[in-house]
Amino acid sequence: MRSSLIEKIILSTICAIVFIIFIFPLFWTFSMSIRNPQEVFSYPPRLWPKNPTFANYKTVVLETDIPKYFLNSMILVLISVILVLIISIPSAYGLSRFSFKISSILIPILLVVQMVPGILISITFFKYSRTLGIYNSLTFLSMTIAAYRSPFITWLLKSFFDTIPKELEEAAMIDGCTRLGALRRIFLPLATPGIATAVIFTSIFAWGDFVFPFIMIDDYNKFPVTVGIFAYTEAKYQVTTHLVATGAFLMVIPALIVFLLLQKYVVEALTAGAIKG
Amino acid sequence: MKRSYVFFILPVILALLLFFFFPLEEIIRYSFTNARLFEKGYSYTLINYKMIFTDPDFLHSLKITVIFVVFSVIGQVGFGLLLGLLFYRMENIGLRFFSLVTRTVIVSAWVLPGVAIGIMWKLMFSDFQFGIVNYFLSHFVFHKPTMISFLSNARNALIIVTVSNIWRGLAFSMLLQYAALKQVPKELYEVASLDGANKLQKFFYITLPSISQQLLINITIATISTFNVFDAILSLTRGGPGKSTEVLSLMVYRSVFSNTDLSYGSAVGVILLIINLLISIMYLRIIFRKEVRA
Repeated sequence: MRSSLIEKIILSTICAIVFIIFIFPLFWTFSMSIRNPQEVFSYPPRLWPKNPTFANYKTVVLETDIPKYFLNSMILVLISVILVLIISIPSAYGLSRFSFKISSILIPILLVVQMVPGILISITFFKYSRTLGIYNSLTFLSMTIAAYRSPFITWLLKSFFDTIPKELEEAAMIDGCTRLGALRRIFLPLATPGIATAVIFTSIFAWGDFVFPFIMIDDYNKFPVTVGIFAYTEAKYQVTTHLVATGAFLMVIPALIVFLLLQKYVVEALTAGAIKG
Repeated sequence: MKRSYVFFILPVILALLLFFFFPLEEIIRYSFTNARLFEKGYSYTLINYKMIFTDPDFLHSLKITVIFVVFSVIGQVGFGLLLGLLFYRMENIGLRFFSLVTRTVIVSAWVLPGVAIGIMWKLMFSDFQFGIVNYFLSHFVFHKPTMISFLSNARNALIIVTVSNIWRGLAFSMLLQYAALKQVPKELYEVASLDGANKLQKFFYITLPSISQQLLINITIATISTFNVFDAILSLTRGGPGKSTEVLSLMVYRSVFSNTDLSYGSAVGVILLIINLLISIMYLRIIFRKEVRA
């Protein structure tokens, strides 16, 4: 029993160190965001500011373009999620229920294209942007982000749909439902958890996406939050450190909230690619 | 199968054609030309590929990328396995809650936007007064005022970029290894105990072979995603100081947009693509071998 107590203490200590390593960057960013500029540059730095203040948050909301960037990011997430579902639900259903000749090539392709660097795709669209009128378009940006994530989501949904028995829809069709009616009434309700995973996964990526808007948007009115806050770090880093910290902390909050509320789905999305094969 | 059902899979086929194959075909084509970003005309040539393998910038970037990827993957998979073992053991000896909380915190790092991670790490490792890591080192390690140039020294910057990438990717490795460890049948350990095997023997003869599949998958996925990291490095170091953390994806960006050399940047991109493709083929071979076995 004694050795087990020692083991408990040792493992708990290691675990506590790991915990600190992972929480500290977030903690430090928050701690910087509630300081006034003088305290940011006072030495020695204090873990927790002497006079915590939310003034920076007020400044960010009232005097910077960051709220506009938030709105743009939300639009981006919304359109991307809708487009991903439009692309991936029918495709995944098709691959799950029918055997096409091209399925055996298409399924590995869905997995392989994940390795294509976004920067390469965005270069071509940048080159064509003037002829096609897609530069500075949030809609086209959402289409790109949705299309970029859709192969993996299609594959994710297909493996989920495979677990829903075909017989349920067939029974409905025998009872007089059309294929689309059976899809809507029987299949989609059962598929909700899989679709939820897809929605969360796409939202997190669309929210954090950087390379596509970075290349395809230069109108600061249309910046999503990632590019907008990055732009703040560019020129005047020293002067605005406290505001950059505030912006960075605000940027991570929605992702953290979604994650904490819907952890189960996030973990599923994260490991699905590797475990199910 | 009735032909009409093909319309179900048309959306994803269109997405692949328009948003993957078309852009990549263009990049590959540009790499065989002398095209500039803002000029219309170009002619076909092999000059980019003749130049690239003697270009010190490219060779440097390739070297930096390989160092970054190798150490990131070793760190992610190695620490992922250690953490997996830690949490597995903690669950077994009644520290379930603490293990769950820590796992949640680790996974939360994965959902953060890469740009935010870059900014957060830059705040911690800054040489300015608020660089808390320097302060800790001065105070608790060296016991005298010390300012290590974490981000303005070439070698240190590469180390910090790699460590931050391990931090970011550890969630995936840890979850994967932890799930794999839980699937190893407990009876195997019991039988080994009866045969008098010690802990190390159990690890090398039971645990490691049982999770080798997931380790391989983990290594390939971590490798691919590390080759493609762009946002976190850009916001942490911008590829600097100098070009000391300019990995291939950043070199593509600099060649195409700062130097407006579309064709040369495309050629660098094609090489990045070929590397990724080779690793992806390994990945597919691993998971499809798994399917046959299962």
